[in-house]
Amino acid sequence: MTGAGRRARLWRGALGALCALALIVVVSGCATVGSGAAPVGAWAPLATATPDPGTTATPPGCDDSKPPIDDVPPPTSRQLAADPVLARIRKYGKLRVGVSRDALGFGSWNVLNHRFEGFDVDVARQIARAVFPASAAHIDDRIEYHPLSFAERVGAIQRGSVDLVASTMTITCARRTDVSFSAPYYVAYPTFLARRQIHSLDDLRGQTICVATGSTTAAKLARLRLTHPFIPITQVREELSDCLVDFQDLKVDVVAANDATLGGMRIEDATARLGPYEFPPVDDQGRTAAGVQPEWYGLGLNKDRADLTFRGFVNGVLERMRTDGTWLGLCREWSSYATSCVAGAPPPPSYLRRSR
Amino acid sequence: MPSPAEPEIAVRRGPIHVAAPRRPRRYGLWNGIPADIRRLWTCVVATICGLAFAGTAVVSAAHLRMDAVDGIARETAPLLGSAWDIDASLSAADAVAASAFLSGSETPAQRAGFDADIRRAQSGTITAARATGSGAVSPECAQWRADSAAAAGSSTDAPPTNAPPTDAPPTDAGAALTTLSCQIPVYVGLIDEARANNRQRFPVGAAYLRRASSLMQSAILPAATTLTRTAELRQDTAYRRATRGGEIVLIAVGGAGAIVILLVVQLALARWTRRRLNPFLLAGTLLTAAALAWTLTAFAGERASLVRAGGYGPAAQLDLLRIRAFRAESDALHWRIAQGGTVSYDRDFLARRDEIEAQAAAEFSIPSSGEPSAGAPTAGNPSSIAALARDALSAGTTAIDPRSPAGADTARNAARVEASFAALETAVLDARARALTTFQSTVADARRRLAGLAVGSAVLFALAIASCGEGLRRRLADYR
Repeated sequence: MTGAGRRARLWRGALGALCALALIVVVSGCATVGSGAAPVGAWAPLATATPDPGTTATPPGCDDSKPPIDDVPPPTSRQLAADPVLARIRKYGKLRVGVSRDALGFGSWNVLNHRFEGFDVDVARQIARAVFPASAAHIDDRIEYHPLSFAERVGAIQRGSVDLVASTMTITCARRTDVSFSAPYYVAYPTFLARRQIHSLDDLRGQTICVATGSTTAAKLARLRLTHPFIPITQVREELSDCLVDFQDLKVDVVAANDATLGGMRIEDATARLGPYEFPPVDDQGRTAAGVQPEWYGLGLNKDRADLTFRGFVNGVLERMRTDGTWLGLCREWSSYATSCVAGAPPPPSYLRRSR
Repeated sequence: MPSPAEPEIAVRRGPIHVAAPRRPRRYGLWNGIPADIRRLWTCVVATICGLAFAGTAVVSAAHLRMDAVDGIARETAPLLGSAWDIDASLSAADAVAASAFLSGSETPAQRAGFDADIRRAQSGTITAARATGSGAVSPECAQWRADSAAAAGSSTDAPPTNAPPTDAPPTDAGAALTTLSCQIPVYVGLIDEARANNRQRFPVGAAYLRRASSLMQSAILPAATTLTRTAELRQDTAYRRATRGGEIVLIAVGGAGAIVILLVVQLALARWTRRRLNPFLLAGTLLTAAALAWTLTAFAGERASLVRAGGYGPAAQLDLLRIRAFRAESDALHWRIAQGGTVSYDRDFLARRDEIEAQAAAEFSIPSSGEPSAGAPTAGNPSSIAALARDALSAGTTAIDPRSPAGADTARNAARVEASFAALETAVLDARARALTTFQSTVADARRRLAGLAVGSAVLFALAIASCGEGLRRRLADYR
């Protein structure tokens, strides 16, 4: 081999080695790598459902200003024995009751003794005792509590997720198109909770008002605004206690609801003033009448015809409570919170069986 | 050695031509130098420039790598750790607050845990603000809240909502830090209100707790997540800087070029001077090759160290598991408080449960339902983490069962949820500590591999330049 040939081979060898080195470097070590950290997923915000408060328009020919008159009478023992609803509840072993979670004195969770308590809850316990007489001593074991906001109540009854609702539920013509009610067991009066006393609707000028979604007071205020457009509503909250939070945070000036629930709130906030103004009767056009408009609380029940006997059974328990002093005893037990045992006393039931 | 390109010598030696055609005279220093010497000077310049270029490339790359690895060790990894800590501490605080509510009377341990979580979140916020260079730690929160409320349109006849009038989740680190520094005190204030009301059995306490949790879920935790994501991006960028291939290519090309130049010069000198070997030039070539080999080996070692054991991955997986577990715990406890309601804590819990199960199956060898747990739980053992996660999720699933009765069972369920998630947290924290130690050792190892590389390679290249210069100087001296 000539010297020139050797040199050329040498050159080619050197260049080849360099190329190989570069290739090895590029292939083996050049690829960048990430930190290997786990990708953080975006937190989806907690989903919130907007419950349907049910029908709000008053059906023609029905008057909310008068006490309910079509209560189902208590059934006979033979009817009771054949009632499929009672049989279903007893088979399930628990009475499913919708209660309020934030109405002090009527239905709220006691964080200290870990139980629901209040006048409504005690009424539901009386019903449960009648359904499960053998378990009267440990009746809470026979009740499945379902805390519900105002707007959730109608839907819960319609879906059948509760057997009854005991949660400051006013009997109204509009609601009766969706659900059924027991005989009235308490009478409440819509009013205001404010930092100073409200004596008339004019006192609401310039005030900001908070109401709970699906409450009768919210519907009444909406009707009143037709004739009193100066009445503002600035907050509509899912729970009435959210209104109290806004009130204490000075975001609203007034909370509107029934005196039964606002009475408990007045205890929760000693700086608040209740009433004394109470809502007058208001028609669908927003016209007011003289006097005050009572609201009758009833236990919310399923409207199905099959539940008619159970409704009568519940009415029978309520009537027994009213007449044997149980109602008064319970009312007095909670009177330091919210109940008024004189103005709140229910009228005698007006039984009128209808063919529905 | 005479060169055929020089006409005067050719004329002298040529037997026929007495006078060659006269070329136009060129003036200048360079032209005044003999051709051989000019060629040698060309070699000198090419060699020194080539070596200087290669040396500069190597030293610069070594500096850049060292900076990147230092950045991981001193900036991005602590920032990422702080960000995860903020997220986890806040989630833990929310869960502890819910647990304290359900237990009725808050225990000293619960209060201490809540306070410690909030303190950790706040100090993490300060650390993150320093690391990101954000000045948003002490903004005018009142003005900020007013602006947020105005932006959120929380005015007349707002639609019904459980969420307080806060802004949308922030999208950048500065805004996230502002949200954290402004809203954490608001959250703590709401929890204090809830405590005060709960002590008096007032149900509005639950409303304050609900609002606090809503604030946490809708504004504070998304801000913490934004911060974590930003920190992760920084960490990822730092990792890519510390392992990028451009520098290696630059060094390989520059080094190869320098070695080619040295070989060419060596061969040219052998041809021109009939000296087969220039020892100084050979020494320079070897020094250059050594510097290149050291650099490439160090870079390869540094890269291998950084990717060893998955980098920050294992610690990040555990952090992710922590915050998912905290959120699941918080969901279960808040559902127990609300026992239904419009906020779908149960759906959120089920979503988190699916995430945790999928993650545990992928990362921690979770046994499928029905299989026995893999031995007794020992802290940090992956299968133990998987078993503990399964226990905690089982407790949470029981807690959100609407058929489980209210009453004393509520407190029992809450206690079981709290205890099982606490056990999981302990195991995860232990494993995380070990993962962080491993990660820190890998970064330290990467730094060690680069230690002295810049100075050492600079010295080697300087020696190579000196050696080559000496070799060429001697050849130049031969012509004098």
